[in-house]
Amino acid sequence: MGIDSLLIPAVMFFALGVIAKLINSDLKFPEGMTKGISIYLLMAIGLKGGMALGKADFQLAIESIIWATIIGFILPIIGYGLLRFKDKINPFDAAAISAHYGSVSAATFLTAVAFLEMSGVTYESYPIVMMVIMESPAIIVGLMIAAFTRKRLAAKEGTQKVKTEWGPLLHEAFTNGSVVVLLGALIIGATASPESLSKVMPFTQDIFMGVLCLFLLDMGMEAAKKLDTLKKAGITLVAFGVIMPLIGGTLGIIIGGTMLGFSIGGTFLLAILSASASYIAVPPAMRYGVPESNPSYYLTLSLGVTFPFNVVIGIPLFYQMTIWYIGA
Amino acid sequence: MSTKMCTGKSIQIIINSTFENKLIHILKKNGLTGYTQLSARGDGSSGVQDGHSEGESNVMFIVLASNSATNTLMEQLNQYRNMGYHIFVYTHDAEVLNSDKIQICQ
Repeated sequence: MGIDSLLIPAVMFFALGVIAKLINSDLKFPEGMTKGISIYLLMAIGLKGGMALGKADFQLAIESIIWATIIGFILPIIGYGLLRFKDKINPFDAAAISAHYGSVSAATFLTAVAFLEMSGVTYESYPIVMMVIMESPAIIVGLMIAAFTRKRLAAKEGTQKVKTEWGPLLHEAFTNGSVVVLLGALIIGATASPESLSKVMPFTQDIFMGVLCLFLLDMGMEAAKKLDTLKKAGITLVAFGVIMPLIGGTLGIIIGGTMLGFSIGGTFLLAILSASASYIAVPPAMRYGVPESNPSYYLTLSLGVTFPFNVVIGIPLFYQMTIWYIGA
Repeated sequence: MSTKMCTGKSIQIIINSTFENKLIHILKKNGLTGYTQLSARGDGSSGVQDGHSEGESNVMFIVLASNSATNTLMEQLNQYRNMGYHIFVYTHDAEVLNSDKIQICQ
C-alpha cells in the first residue's frame, strides 16, 4: 500500500489543486460549478448505493442505520469534551466545531471509494446509507449544546434568556441539499428497474471517477486557501483536527468490524465516514444556529486540516488498521 | 421644472446567506417589501467569504426606507448583531424618484 495509495488520480488532482494555489495560479472554477459537481457526485453514489441496497439484507440495513445514528450523536459529544478540556476553547466554538466532526464529508468518502475501486477491494452498500443518516444528528447535538450554554450563561449573568428558534434549525438539519439528493437517489436506485437504471449508467458510473478528479482539484485549491488562517486557529485546534479523525476512524473500525460484521471494504468506509468532518451541510447550520461561534475556525479545521489529513494519511492508515483489526 | 423627489435612506446590509430568509422576514415585518439583493464577496473577521459554499457566501441587500423606518430596522438588526450574527449595515441619504413604489415619503 504506502505511497501507492497516494498515486490514484483523485488524490493527485487534490495535490494539483493545492500546488495551483501555492504558486498563485489563476486557475479557478466558474461560479456554481463546484455545487453542480457535488450534486452530481451525491446523486451518482446514491444511485449506486440504492441499486446494491435493493439486494441487501434488510436487518443489517436497519442495524447500520441505528449505529449511524449512535455514531452521529457520540462523536460530537467526544469532540466537545476534548475541546472544552481545561477550558481551552469557548463553549460556542466547541459546540460548532464538534458538530462538524460528528457529521460527514462526502468528498472524503468518495475518495475512499475511489481508493477501494482502484485497489480492487469490494465493499457493502450500507456505508452509503450510513452517510445519509450521519449528516444530521451532529447538527442537533451542536445546536443543543449551544442552547444549553446560552441558558447557563444567561442564568449566570442574570441577563434575559435568548430563545433558540428550533423550527428552521431542525428543518435545515433534515432537509439540507446533500440529504435530499443522497436519500432520493438511494430510493430511486433501490426501486427503479435494473433495465431503466442501466440507461443512466454511462452518466452516473462511467464518468464518475473523472468528475471526482475535477471535484478534488477544486477541494485542493480550497484547502490551500485555508492554510493562511491556520495560524489564527492556533495549535490546540489544529491538533484537534488531526486527533479527532483518529478517534472517529478507530470507533468506525470497531463498530464496522465487530458490531456490524462488515467486510474490510465496508469497515474501512465506515472508518472514513467517522473520521471525516463536514464542510457542506454543517457550516451553514452552525452559522445560523450558533452565531456566537467563529466560522473561520470550523471551516479552516474541516477543510484545511482534517480533509487533507484524511485524504493523504487517513485513507492508507485506516485501511491498514482495518486489515489489522479484521485480520485478513 | 424640477421633478419632485422624496428623501429617505438607502440602507446597505451585508449578511451571510444563511441569514437571508430571516432578514427578508424582518424587512417585510417592517413594511419594507421591496429590496435589491446581490451576491457579495469579501474578507473579514468571519474569514474569506468567496461563495464557495453556503457557509461562505455573503449577500448584500439594498433597501430604501423612510428615516423613521430606518431607525426601527437598525434597532432590530442590532439585536441580532448582539446575538452574534455578522451583520454589516450602513446607510446613505437618498433622494428617490419612485416614491409610489417604495413608500419612502410616508
